Amino acid sequence: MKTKKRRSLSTKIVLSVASVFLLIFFALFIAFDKINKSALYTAEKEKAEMIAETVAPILAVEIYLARKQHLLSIASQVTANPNILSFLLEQNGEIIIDQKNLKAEQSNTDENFNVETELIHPVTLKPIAVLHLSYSSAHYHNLTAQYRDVLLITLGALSLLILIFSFYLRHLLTPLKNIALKLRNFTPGQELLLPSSNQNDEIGNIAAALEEMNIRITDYAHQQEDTAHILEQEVEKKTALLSHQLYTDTLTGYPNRVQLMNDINQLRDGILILVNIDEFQQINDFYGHIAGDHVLNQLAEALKYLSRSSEKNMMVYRLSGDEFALFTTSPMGYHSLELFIQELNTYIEALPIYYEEAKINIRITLGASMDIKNGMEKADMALKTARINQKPFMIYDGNLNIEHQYEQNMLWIQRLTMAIFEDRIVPYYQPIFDNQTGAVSSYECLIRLIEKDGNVLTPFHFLDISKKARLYTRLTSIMVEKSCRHFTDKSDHFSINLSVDDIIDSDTVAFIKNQIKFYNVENQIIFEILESVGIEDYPEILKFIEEMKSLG
Amino acid sequence: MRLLLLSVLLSTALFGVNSNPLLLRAQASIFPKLILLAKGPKAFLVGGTIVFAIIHETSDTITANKLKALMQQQYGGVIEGFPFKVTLIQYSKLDETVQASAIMALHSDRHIGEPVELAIKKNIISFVGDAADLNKGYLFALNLERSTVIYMNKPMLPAYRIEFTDTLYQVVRFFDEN
Repeated sequence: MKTKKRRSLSTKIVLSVASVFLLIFFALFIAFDKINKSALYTAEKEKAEMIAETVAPILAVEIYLARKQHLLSIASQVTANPNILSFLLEQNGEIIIDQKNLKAEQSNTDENFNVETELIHPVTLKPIAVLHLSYSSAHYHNLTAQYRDVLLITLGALSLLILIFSFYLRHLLTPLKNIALKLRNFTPGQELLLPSSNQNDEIGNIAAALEEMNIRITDYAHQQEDTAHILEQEVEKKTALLSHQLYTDTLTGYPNRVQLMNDINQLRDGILILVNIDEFQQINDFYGHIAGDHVLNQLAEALKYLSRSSEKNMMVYRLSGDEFALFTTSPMGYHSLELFIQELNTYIEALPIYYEEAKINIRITLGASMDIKNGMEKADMALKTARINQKPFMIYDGNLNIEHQYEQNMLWIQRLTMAIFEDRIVPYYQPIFDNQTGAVSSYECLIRLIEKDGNVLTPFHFLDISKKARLYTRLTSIMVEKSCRHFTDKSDHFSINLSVDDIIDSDTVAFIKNQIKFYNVENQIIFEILESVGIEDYPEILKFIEEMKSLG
Repeated sequence: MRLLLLSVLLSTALFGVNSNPLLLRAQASIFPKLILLAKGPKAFLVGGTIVFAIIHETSDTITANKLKALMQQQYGGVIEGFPFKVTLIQYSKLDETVQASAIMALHSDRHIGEPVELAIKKNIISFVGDAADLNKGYLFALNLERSTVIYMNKPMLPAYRIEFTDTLYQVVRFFDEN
């Protein structure tokens, strides 16, 4: 880990203070240097001017009184001042007195203060002469040098103070450094004892506060640990519950499809039997869903009972609404399995299920696979094949070519769907002759599928598959519409075959009535009800006949 | 001590004072100018003219004339633009009718005090030819020492009620009886 280099706080403070002080000092130095030098210069110059202005009136009077001796005397007195370098009196352009101080030769006249004052006549108040004084700048230079020395001494003293301040500050902040060191080496859970906590100042307060904070953090961490432990337990419970819900059917309490797939995937050998209740939707519709659930529970219990009693060590699963599975790893031959399935089927179909006061009998179809590899698909294929072939059960056997049959069924569904879409379902009108007269008494409308190559197929090939594919009522509608349209402008009678599926389907019946009225064939159409109709459908048929009669 | 020294100096100078040509020349040169160093010099004009009256005994008539001649020679009738005239008056003829801007008294053993009274009364400046007579109440006197020294009788200034240019007080040497 890259460690960030930290600069000492005391160094930062000292540097900041020193910078500020030095900046202020230099600003003041520059300002005062300029102001003071200017002030000193002005003061020295004013001194020279003051001397000149002081002697000027006297000189004027002396000139007025023509006392040259006194003028010389004054000049001598003035030049006695060591700062006066020269005294020059000029009257009417003529120098009347020119006295020089000995120091004048040692000094650079350019740097001196040269003062010029006019002498005013005491009576006429007109200028009568000019006094030139050269005042030495030595004093001025001396003062500025002294001033600079004072500033440098101040700077030195200030630097010394800052140095002392830095040492003092470092001393003050040492406890903070120690606290930081202690905190850096601190391990959570440890007792924190800081060296300066008993110090009676801000650092002591911070150290004491840190110690208190550590105690509170430790307490809080303990609380968090307890909470985490409780939460962990809760999570475990919930996970177990969810796991149970994932692998268990909520209605029967038996393992579900996910559990079955898990079990199958973990094994190489085993036998799978799928059990499907026939027409379970009718039970739900007739007796209600609660009764349906009761039937499912009873079936599950029955399957469990059978699996135990057969000593096949079979597990019972509920896969979906009306589908169950039995799975065993116990070795079993084909005939033993066939025998077991027959017993199972017989037992279930004979099993009376009571719901309230009703006795409900169920029929089941079974599909089994002895090969656990793709066992689910194979058993399902066997189940569907058994249904198509209207057999109570079927065991998947590669030799029985079940896969091929299944594929054929899928192909037929495709062919039928395309024929409907491309309007290749057509009625053939077979004439019915009157034996006595030999004349055509009516026509029977027979359904045909015209293949793309023109080959005509009879309903033998596609009627059953149309029922499985739920296309049967659609075929009936096509036959009714096309037949009615054909005979609408004819006087011949024609007959159409209807199955019970057509008659109990209210939409189909409504469509038939609508077509009869639309093509106005009430007096021509004859319905032939197929012989497969069950006695349980009798009321619907009577109702249908009544409705047709009412049309004419 | 100062008074003693001054007396000695003055007494030595007194001998032949009126006949000292250098002194006369200095007096002729400086005294008239001192009139103009009074504040408001026009107040001293007599008919617009500066009249300088020299009071003398009959015995000093020559000296008085000599002084007059020197003054006329010096100023030619005009001082700093003012008309200037010198008149000679004998002590015996001195009275209050005398009209002058200033008076200068030559030494007189008997009458030396009279011009002072007149000057104070008329409020005009008084000069004395002999510095030793300054204690008689005259305002100014002149003496030749290492240089030309103007003496001003400081105790008499209030009596004359005349004010001079401030600078004058710096260039004169004050005479004080005390």
